Amino acid sequence: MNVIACENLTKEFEGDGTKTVAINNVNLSFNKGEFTAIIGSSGSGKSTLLSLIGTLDKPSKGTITYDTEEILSKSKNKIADFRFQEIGFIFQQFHLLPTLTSLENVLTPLFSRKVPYNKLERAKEVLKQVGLSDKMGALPSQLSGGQQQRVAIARAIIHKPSWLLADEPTGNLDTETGERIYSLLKELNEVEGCGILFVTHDPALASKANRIISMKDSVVLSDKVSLAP
Amino acid sequence: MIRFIWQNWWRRKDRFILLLIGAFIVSAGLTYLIGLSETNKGTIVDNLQQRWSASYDIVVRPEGSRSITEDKKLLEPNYLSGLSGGISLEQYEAIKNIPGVEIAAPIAMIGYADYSVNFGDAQLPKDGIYRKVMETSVDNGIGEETVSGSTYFVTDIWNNMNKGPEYGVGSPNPDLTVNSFSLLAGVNPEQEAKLVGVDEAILSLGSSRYFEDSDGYFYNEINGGHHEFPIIVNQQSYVDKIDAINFERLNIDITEDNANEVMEKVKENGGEEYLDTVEGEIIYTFSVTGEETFHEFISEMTGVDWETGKVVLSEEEENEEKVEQTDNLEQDKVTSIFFQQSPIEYQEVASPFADRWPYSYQVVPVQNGDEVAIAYRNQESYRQPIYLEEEFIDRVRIKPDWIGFYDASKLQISKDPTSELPMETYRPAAAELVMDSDGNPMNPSKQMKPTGDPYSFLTDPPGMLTTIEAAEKILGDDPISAIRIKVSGVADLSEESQDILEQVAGEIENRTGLITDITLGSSPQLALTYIPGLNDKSSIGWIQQPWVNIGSSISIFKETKIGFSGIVASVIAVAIIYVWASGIVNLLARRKEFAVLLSIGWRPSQLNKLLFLESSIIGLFVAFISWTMLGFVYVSSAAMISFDRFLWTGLFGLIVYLLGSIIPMIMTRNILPYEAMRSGEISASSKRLFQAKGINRMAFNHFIGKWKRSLLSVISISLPTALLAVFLYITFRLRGIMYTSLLGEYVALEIGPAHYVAIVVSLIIAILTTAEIMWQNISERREEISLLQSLGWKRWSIRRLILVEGVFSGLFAALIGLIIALIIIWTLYAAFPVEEIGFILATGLIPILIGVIGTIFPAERAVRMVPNQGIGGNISNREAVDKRLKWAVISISVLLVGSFIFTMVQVAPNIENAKSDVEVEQAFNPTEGNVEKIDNSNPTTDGDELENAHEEPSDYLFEFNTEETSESTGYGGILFYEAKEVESSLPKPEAGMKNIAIEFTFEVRDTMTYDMRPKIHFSILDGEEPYKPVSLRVIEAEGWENERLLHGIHDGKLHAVIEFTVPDSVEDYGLLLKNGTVGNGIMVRFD
Repeated sequence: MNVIACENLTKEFEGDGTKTVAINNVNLSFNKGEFTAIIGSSGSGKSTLLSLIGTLDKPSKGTITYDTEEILSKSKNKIADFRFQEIGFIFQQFHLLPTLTSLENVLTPLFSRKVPYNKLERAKEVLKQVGLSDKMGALPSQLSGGQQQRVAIARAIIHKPSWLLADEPTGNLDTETGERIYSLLKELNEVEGCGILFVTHDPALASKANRIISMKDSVVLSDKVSLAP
Repeated sequence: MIRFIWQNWWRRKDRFILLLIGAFIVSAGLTYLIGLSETNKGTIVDNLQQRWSASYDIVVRPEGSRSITEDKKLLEPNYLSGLSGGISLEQYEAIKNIPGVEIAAPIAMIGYADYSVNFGDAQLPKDGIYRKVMETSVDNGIGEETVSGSTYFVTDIWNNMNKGPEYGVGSPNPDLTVNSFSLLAGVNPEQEAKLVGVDEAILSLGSSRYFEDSDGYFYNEINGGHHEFPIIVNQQSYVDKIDAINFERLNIDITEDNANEVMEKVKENGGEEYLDTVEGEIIYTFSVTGEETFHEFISEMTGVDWETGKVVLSEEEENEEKVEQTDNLEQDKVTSIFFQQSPIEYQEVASPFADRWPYSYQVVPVQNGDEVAIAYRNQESYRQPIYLEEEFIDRVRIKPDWIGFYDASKLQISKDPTSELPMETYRPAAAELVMDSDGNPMNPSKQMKPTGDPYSFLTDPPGMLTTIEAAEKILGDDPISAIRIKVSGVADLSEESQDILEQVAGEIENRTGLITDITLGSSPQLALTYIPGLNDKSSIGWIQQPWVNIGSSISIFKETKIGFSGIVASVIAVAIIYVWASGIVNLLARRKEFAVLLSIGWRPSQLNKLLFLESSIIGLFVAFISWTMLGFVYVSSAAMISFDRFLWTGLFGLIVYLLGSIIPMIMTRNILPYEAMRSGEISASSKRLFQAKGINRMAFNHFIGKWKRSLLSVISISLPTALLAVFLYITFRLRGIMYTSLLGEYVALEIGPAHYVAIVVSLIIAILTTAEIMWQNISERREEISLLQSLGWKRWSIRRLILVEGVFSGLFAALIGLIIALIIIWTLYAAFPVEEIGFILATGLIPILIGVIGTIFPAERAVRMVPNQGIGGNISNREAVDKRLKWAVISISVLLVGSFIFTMVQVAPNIENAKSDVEVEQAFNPTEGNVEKIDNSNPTTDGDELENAHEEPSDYLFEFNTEETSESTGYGGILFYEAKEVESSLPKPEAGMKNIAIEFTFEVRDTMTYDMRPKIHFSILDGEEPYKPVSLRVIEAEGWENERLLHGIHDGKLHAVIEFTVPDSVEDYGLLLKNGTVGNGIMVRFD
């Protein structure tokens, strides 16, 4: 899958009689291999945009096409399959399953899925890739924040997704650790060639991306392709 | 996947332990209720039917044969043995032809036949005057009763022909002959065989056989005529007695030469009276037990030795010569029937221990006059002696053809001694002496035994059976005492059966005019009877007997069924709710986790699979635990568990858990992967009714805010509460029926504990449900609680916040539970429980308590929260902690399972015991409550019948002067009684005597029935000297049945003149009216 295209994308939340518009009429398209940052203040709709692109939620209006395919109109199981095949998620709170070890957490996407490779080998491989070969048996509670996020990244890339979507991946980390995570993502972008889409409110971090989309009050303010490396 | 599930459980130990405890309780509860409890709906039916069934459904009796005890639906044990004819053969035929009548077995009580066994002759020296002392000692269970009599005879050295009784001796009788009585009854052989299988109970011994068609009746004209007919004899028809025959040779020298001389002298000295004073020397002793006598009798009749089964030469063949010498009667074995059976007259008395024995009676002894047989003449007896013929000389002579012997214990009647219905024809009445006459308990109680006296308190059932034909020939028309009916299509204790029986019984009454009673669904009922002493002897005391409580079972039955099915259903409902609740809570707790799983590419169907697998594992675990426990109980207590039940007990747990996974599975559909992105908000959605001004309102808002799950815990608490209230109500209502019969006690004992266990199980499950829900609420409010703590809330305030929420759950549960309970009660009984409303409302406190208990742990958890605790904080993987927890979980499991199995093993044998030993158990369950109380205001019932001495004036029930009437004594409301002296109409008596005529009026003003036989019950007392009446002239009588019973309900009134002949010297005297009904008598003073 190479292109994700959003057309007239609008998302509204309804609750207790009030209507909140999270995203208003957004038109964007992303190409595989891009390293994109979405920046904006709290409540600007950047996380909502990410969840829509990642098929975690459905838009109120507008369409998202993935290589001309409109995945969101399909059944939940089909959407789940798509997510499994094409998209890897990384969350601000890491969202590791607290009862599972690093290795097990990395393996979770593969539970009851048929894959052409050896699951355990692959899991070890990705953990090695994120530099945690020695922490395979540790529970999330025994890992530092940076380590937890690296496990989360390993989990996201285990099935070689075309896209990695990250929601404030460094938000809960100190600057130094954040840097390390960032470079890990960068590396994945370059080595694996997967498209990376990350949300942040840190302009410094965003400025390192190839493409920077800034959002404010539910709309896209600017969409710049950075010349920085 | 399973590994994933396991990790998920294992690393969340607190929740896992909760889950395990829940699983244990559910499986233990199900094991007990479904697997072990004997009181499952089906088994109640089976048990009751098997154990409390009589061989007949309806009993038909002649009109007027109801006794006063039947006012209370009570039949005395072996009531059949006291009935005398009254039903004709035509009526019997009519009944037989009524559609639906499958078996109609008539029984005709004929009377007491005697059989004698001759053990040969005593070998005595040829010359002598002998005193033959015949002594019979009977063990009546309390002590020995000895009756002895002596006769004299002179051996053949003196010719006693043409010598009168003045010599004091009879003809020589050195024979060793022992006599015994047995009640003879006529039956229809074919119907009796169908009813109880008498033909199958015939002993196969020599010529012993059942009736055959060729067995006929024959009237033999020889020797004044006698009846010849076939008889079969019960092999157990003997009393525990020893007959001893002693021959004493008197110290009077007598030889062939001086015999006449000596005897003349004896005559001069006073004959028998003189001989009584002469000492003698015992030279021959013979004694034999009743059993030996009977076995000898059987041997003689069957020609087979009782012990060895070998053919023996009969006495007749052996002593052929001697037989020829004896007279014809002896040779032909002609015996007689003289005494006829008669019923006991009971009178209600207030029970000394109404809690234990709600029904209490006393036996009213009969005062016999001059006209009765010598043994009872001028004596008191428990039953009124009745004779087949007026004079002994006219007694019915019979020559039985002893065709066979049967074993009553092999009849097809219920044989469980604790539950038998005391209405079977062939079973002796049980009677246990439980208190002496002063009301002191006998420890141990003594089992009374019949004495063989036809008119003693306890009599045996018929021990000899002949045909109805013979009975008719002996008794004349209307020989049948009762007909026992079995109706076709009546198999179980149900309303349909009851309807069929009522229809058949109605038809019988219509066609024959006889009275019927439906005996199906009767229960034994322990009643207490006071046995007064006879003939100035002291009272025996109080005996306890199982009576028949007619028709009490069906209602008990119905209510028990409703009660128990309801309880089991509710436990199951509560279990399902618990499983749902824990499933939902589990889902809520893992909602975010599931959202993450979805966002990393899990299919929703994978989540469903996960949930289903989890439920299956717990379900299998529950099933496994149930099966293990059942198996263990089965092995260790030898309780019988059917395979079906075994299988279902486990499967049930599994099914409950599988069903429990449905709701969470539906709920996962609403989980959006998007939720994974959200974080940090406090209570996303929450409804509120009040402004949160204080802790209570805040708690209330929380409670309402999460109303769906609050409702879950409310329902799970309210269901058992409702059932508890209903159950208490049913118990309370049933108590009246329950504890008035053995069946009821059985039901109460067997089912009561199961009910309570069920409710306790449901309540524990409810506590778990509440705890689980509150636990989740608190987990979700972790941030909020941390915040409150960091804002400076005291620990106690936080604890209170949580506990108050529990109280709200409890309050709502109480409200809903009580409403449900009232609705159930209303639908079941169409009545609002006004009387019981108090305790029903009191049950409302239980859910509040449960709400609080359920929140204690969560509250403690909330209090311990540290403000900055992280999400994954309480999950650890450290080896030591892991190990410790592992052991904790294992030991808790072992402890739970162990204690449960222990209890089960303890309980299971008790379940068995309770069945076989109801009597023992009930000692700890005294009866209480609203039994039918005997009216205490009735003076006749609180009469102190323990006192026997009527000589003491203060001991009379009441007394007054002839100028007064009963109205001046305070008894005027109950009876009117006055007595005035009038002119005598009798001819002038002999010198020194005078006549006194008293005109009296006795009128019953309440509904009591008085025994009123003036010639027996009235006497004139001059000091202590009593005089019996000589004549009675009735002026007016109303409601005076058979000139015997004065019925209050028929406006009983007797106005008569009674006359006495007393010595001239009698001036100031009293007229005493004393019968069984007026206790110590009513005295009218004539001063």
